[in-house]
Amino acid sequence: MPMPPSDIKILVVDDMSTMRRIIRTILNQLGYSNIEEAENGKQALARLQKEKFDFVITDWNMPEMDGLQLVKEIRADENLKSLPVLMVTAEAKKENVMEALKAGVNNYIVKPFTPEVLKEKMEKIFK
Amino acid sequence: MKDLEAIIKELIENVKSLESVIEGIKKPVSESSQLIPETTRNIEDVMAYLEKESHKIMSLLEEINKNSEEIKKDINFLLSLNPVNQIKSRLESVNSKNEENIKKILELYSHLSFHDLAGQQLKLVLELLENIKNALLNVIVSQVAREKDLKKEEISGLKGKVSEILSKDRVSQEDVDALLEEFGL
Repeated sequence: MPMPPSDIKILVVDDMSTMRRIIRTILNQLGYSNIEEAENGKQALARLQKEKFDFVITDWNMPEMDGLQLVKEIRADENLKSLPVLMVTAEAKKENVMEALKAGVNNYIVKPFTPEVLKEKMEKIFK
Repeated sequence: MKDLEAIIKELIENVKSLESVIEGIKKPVSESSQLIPETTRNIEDVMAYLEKESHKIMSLLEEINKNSEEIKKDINFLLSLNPVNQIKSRLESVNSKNEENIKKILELYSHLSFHDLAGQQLKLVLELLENIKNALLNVIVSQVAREKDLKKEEISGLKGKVSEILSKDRVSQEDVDALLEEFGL
């Protein structure tokens, strides 16, 4: 039986505060209320290693550690390797998508995105 | 004696041409190195302004959204009182419009990601400016090294000085002037 959205703990990783707020608001509207934030991959990885999260939504281009590296670190970590990761990014080239998939993302959204797209991808991951 | 006179004349001409080369470089380098940090600051200001205004818009949208949720609750309450058909159909119509508004507010949120997309483009411009700044200072190094016939160690010292300046977030005019002065420019 799938987890109810309100029980799913999500980490939103983006260096832009506006983008984090946009994603958080859309998630809230979709029923996901347990949301935490990180400003870059490094900060996110530190939190993931300390606390239990059920899902990660990450941007690609960020300072300190980018989203792609974060995905690689997650997949290389024995305790985190099965954590679902959704990449939300402005990188829309085919090779970017391929690179992200190769690194281990579970799904990929190109910015700007509609709430319906986010809903659809979330449902696909938690099906 | 004639040979010596010719050599001295040639030397003076060389010095003069070197001076004009140096003068020619000094002005554009100085102007550009002053303009680049200014432009960088302007772009950073634009980014900060965009971020601040986007948050203001989002706060207003949150208030509108909250009101819409309240309206929804009130309409549902009124509908639960079993009003006469005429009122019921009006209430249902208001309810449907209100739902539409809630959806549109959410759409507005996603359009606000323009700030992130614009910000990423502006970051590329900032990177480009950084590269131009580096290139400009490298022009100084290579020009000075060539014209002054600097030894290997001197070039390395000059490069060290330049990279020390470049490692800072911004190159101030004082840094550039000090560097120019150090190398007789």
